[in-house]
Amino acid sequence: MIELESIRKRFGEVDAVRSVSLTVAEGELVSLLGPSGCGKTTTLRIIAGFETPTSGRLRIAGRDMTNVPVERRGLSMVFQNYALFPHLTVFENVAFGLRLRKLPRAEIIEKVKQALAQVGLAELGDRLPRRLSGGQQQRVSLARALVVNPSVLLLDEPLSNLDLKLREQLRDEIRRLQRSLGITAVYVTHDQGEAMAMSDRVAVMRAGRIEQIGTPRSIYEQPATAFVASFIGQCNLLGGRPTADGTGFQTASGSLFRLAERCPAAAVQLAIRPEMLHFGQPPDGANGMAGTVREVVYLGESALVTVALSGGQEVLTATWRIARGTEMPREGDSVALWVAAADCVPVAEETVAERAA
Amino acid sequence: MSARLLRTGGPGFLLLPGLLVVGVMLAAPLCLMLALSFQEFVPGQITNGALTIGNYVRLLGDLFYLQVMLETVELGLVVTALALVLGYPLAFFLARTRSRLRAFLTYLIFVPMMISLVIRAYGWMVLLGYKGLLNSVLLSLGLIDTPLRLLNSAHAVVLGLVEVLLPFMVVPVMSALRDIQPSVEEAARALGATPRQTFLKVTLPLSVPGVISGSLMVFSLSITAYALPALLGGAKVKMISAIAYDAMLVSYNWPFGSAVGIAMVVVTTALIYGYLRLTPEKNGHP
Repeated sequence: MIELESIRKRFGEVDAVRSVSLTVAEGELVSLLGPSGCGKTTTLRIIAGFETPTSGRLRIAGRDMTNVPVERRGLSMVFQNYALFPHLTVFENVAFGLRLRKLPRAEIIEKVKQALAQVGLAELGDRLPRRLSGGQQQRVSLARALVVNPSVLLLDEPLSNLDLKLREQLRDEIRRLQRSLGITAVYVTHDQGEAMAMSDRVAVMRAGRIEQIGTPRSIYEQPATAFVASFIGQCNLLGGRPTADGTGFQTASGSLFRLAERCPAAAVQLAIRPEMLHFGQPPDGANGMAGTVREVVYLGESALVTVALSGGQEVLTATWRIARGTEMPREGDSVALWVAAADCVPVAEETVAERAA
Repeated sequence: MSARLLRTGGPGFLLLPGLLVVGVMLAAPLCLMLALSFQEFVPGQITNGALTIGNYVRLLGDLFYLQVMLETVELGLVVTALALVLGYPLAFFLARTRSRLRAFLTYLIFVPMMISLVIRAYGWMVLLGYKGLLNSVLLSLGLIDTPLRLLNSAHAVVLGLVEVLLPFMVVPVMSALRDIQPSVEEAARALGATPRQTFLKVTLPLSVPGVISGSLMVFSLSITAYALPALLGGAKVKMISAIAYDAMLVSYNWPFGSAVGIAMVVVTTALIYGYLRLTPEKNGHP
């Protein structure tokens, strides 16, 4: 549905987007995830048409859109700051796109009412935007974007200005609407939780490039690079190199970790998620470690236990699942840890694509 | 109301110096004028203190004065309209340009205000005079046979006032345009509006607050202008402020001069009030 081909964007001396190729299938929601300055917003604005790429091609529904003006791309956009028309009522905000399309009056009224009902604001049509809360404003903005029946919905950090509870609620609402209407969507966010919860696929961006793209699960469980591993969720990263036979990974302090799959030669770090670390003696085939508890942080359903491994300077954070009546590890305790070979993921410093460029 | 303003908390007392200046230098003289305007004029001693409405009867009963008032308002409207037509595109350009020279260009708007109004009026005289630059050029090009009488006309006054008051239109319109979030216009584009439609349906309505304050400033400054009409309009253009001046400083008829002044305040206030009522409140900022 949306195809970006080697898109590059230069602002003066700065490469905001270096080389982004991305295909979004019909009805799919793809997140562009990354820290600020990674080029995710610029990429979205290129899809929208607010920026012209320095080089590369953009196609939407098979049509070359590289030089088509924004208003003829048949898309809708939701902005971080809502971007409602402050001089128009909620009703007129939603009707804006329909009036431009010169629809008959009765149809406009019908559609606007339906769109407002869809986002739970049927009663607020007469209000001015500034009389609404942030969450309500973003709902209006969503209704305004969806009522024109766009082929593509672009969302630029739509939840970033809202507080946590509302953010989760609206997140699920956006996802539900996008799915039920079958709209192709590109979602820009710096919040990995949001990206994981909403997306069919996540594209993790850094320094103007897509570092890795995949389903939330594959990104989380099989990060390709140390950056992806640490940006998404919490992750222990141990420096080292693959063993000579490629079946394991040797850390800088000499500990050997067995791997489930052959270790890529480019691997320079080993990524282990805290929740994949277990306390106790290792079963057969697992990697065992011993160490001393440094710190315990109680989180409610679990605790994060920081363990200094014996025989080196390496420190791991492990998740301790709280069970009623059991003792938590305490600072200074000697503990045994283990991790399954399949949960040890060797990662490269950068992607292969990056080094080739 | 001022009591409530001052009670709004700590920084309220910061309003006091301003209130004092306005109170002593504006409100008090205005009250004195109001009182004086209802007193009888006696040549040689200004007033004998006797109350009368004679000054207003004279002002409103004489077609000449009514005519002058009407022409003054008319001139103010023309100046305001021209300043808007000329100033809006300029303000739009200054608000939107990405040029590195933007700060400098904005500064240029203010430069004329650093030059005395009288000097600028003389500048126009040099340009528009009977043997002025414009006439010389037109004569030497053979476009005219005899010099045009450009000075001492309402046109010259309008031209001079527009030039002098343009910054008062440009600055508020520019800041209103700068207050518009770029994403609001982008949202319109994404919904299918062409750049032209976006301007007409979003940008223009959102800049109305700036247009209102600019228009009010230009209008009130132009109908109360004295020096520029006197210099560029000569005897041909009689504006109400000149009537007040003559009464006050030529015939020393302070009571009548006060009545003219009060009448101007009433007319201006009524027009401004009407203008504000006409423009819907919802055009305010979010």
